[in-house]
Amino acid sequence: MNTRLFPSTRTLAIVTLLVTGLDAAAQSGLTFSGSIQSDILLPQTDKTIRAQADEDVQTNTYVDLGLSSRYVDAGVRFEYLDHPLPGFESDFKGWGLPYFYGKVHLDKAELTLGDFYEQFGSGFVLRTYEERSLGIDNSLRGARLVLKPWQALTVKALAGRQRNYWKHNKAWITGADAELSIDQLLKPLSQNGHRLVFGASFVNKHEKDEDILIDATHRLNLPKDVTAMDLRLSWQKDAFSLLGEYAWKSQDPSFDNGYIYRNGQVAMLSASYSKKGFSALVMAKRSDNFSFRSRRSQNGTSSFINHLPAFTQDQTYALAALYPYATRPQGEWAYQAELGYNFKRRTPLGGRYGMNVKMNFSHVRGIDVQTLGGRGSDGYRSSFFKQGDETYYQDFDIQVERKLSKAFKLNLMYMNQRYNKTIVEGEGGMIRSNIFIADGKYQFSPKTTLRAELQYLTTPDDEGDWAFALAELSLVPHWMITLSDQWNCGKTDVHYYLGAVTYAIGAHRIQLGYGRTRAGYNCSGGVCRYVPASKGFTLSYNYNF
Amino acid sequence: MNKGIAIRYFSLLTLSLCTFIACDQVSEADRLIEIEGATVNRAVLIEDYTGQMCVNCPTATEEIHHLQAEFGAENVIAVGIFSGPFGVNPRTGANLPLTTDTGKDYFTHWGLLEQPVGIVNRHGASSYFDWAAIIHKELQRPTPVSIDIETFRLEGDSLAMQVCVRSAEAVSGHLQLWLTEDSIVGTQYFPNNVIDREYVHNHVFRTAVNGDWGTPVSLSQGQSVSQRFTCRKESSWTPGHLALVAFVYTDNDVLQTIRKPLNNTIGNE
Repeated sequence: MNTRLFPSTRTLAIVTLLVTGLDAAAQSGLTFSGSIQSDILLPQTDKTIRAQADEDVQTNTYVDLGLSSRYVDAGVRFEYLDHPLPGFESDFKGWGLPYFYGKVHLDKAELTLGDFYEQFGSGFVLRTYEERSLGIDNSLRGARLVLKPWQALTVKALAGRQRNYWKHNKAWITGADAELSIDQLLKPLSQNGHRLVFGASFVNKHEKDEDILIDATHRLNLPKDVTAMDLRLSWQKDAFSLLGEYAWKSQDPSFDNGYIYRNGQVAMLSASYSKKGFSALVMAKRSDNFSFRSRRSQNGTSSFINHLPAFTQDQTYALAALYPYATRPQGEWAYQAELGYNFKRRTPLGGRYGMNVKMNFSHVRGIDVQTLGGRGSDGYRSSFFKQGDETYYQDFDIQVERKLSKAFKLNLMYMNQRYNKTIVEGEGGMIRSNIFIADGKYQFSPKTTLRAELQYLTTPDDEGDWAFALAELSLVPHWMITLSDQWNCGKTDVHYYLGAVTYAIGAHRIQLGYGRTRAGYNCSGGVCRYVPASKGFTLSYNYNF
Repeated sequence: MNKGIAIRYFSLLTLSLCTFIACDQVSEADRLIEIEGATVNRAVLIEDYTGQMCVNCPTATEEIHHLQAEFGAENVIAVGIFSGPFGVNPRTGANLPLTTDTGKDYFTHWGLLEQPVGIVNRHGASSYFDWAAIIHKELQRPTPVSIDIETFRLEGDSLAMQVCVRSAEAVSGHLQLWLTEDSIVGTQYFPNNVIDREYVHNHVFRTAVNGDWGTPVSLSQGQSVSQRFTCRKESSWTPGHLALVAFVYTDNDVLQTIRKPLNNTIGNE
């Protein structure tokens, strides 16, 4: 079904006035910018991987336009998602102008009207952002004011309604954030190289009542205002830094938590050391009932007001990313430690050109839960420091990057992974795997480089072993040719092959490809969504101006 | 810059934020609001799109049982349509034992992507938390249509049924007949890697008797029409556990639903 979301006539008039005003203020320096991103699939049926071709052409296309000047900016985005690529939620379909804004920015103040993105602290109570590959855009439509009355103090205030695909949820979101650089107030601190910042945030969701029945004659008395607050303190001196952050949320019965009345909380502590040649990081986080949406009955990926960062490393290698963990806002303990060291060149371990070693360990498990009841109750009790019985995810990886000659660079990686597929996807048990990766790049000439990857994942679980190979030839400045194959040598013997040719000139980039993409599950809030397999020709175009 | 003013402003801001924190907390004694019981004017159909490998689906099934206990099993008629990605073997794509091709077609037709999910009286997909409120509202909506399953019996290897549809107003739609079966013992996945191989499945969709999308029916005011249908009994079905679900639907509404079990092998007139 076509669904459009056009701005009102009044809003269009405001944007037009702004644009006209910018034109008249050309002497202030008017800059026009934008981008076009279009991904197109011509799907084909493939019985081996169960790919279906329900449409002739599928595309996700975005066009961003912006005008900026010394004091005023304006922008608009056109989206065409009426025949979207596979794997997006059904409400994702539509086309129109869902994003537009006007901004006035002065020396100490900035006012935005229209759609905007914002984050408070680490995002525990507010993070609105766009992630096109996941179909996420939870921008707010309203007003945002940022004040910097002094160098040491930044204050933000905002109010608006949140985008939910092609409409806006009815709930009103209001919020404020303040950050104070204490080192700017206490001179001895800054004079001794200390940086100390204290932050406080508050977000309120006002949502009208609705009928959630628990039996034929009783419905829940739902709180119409849900408040979340966040406190954080960060300290940095030389190579050391520390961050502590705590967030709390009032009663928020919702689909995500089974309509219980338990308050939510998140606590995070991180410490890092970073100096030339050496870095270390340790972090711990505990989240408990902290899903925060602008529509209490929403499920899926839409309408989150906040975002809890994942404590697992984003993997770019195909087999290392085969079993990705998704943060569970319902509750988890997460730990992460990273270590990086650069062995200098012309040392015994560094060799002629030097060697870089990185290690990462991530562990996520459940929190303690003592069930009290279901809908309408407090849900459960949970001892803060007690861990739950179940491991959700764990990985340890070590990467070694070394230049072996003037032309050849090698990156080796080993990863041990445990992935609780039942927790994340709804079924499958614990997947235990070892992954071996070799990534080599050889520069034949200043204009010709060949990169090759070989990966192997071995596991007795799920679909068994996988192998992956990739070859990528770069012919600077314009061409890149990529061939890859991901082969399930364990149980199915299916090859997921891909070939692509990329041409780049100036700000234009176009890629033509053909191949298969594997199916998988995307789970959120107790409901799992299937992302189907696909096969066919792909065309991608990017242009930035 | 006056640091004293800055600190004062910041403290004031932080205190202001804190004053908002304790608002709208509902004490345990105040969490339930009494409402009027529903006046039943029609039965309501729940199409429960479920799967044997769907770990959250038993929770939706429990909700159905709870709603039937609250509103009456004759008023809340559920059909468990095994389908979707959790109704097939994830490696081979083959149907799990309770999944049917018709059920999969329905899942695709409604554009469903997740499980568990239900469709109540064909008013769009909804989660099981919402069913109670939807059913409470739907039960009270008047309808001009009544359905009577006059006969439903086993005749040899076939099932024969006579269904009469009456309407107090002019109505145009489709009559759909589905066979369901109770008490099927089979596998069901649960959270925490639990697999129950002796789970008892009820109201399982077996087949659409009169075509996937039913038979057109058009009635003038006060008119009734009675039709006879037959379908072959599969050997895997247990006759004593079978039931016939009949409903009349339009583009976006189910006007009336009825369910009648097959009680004996001769007939149940």
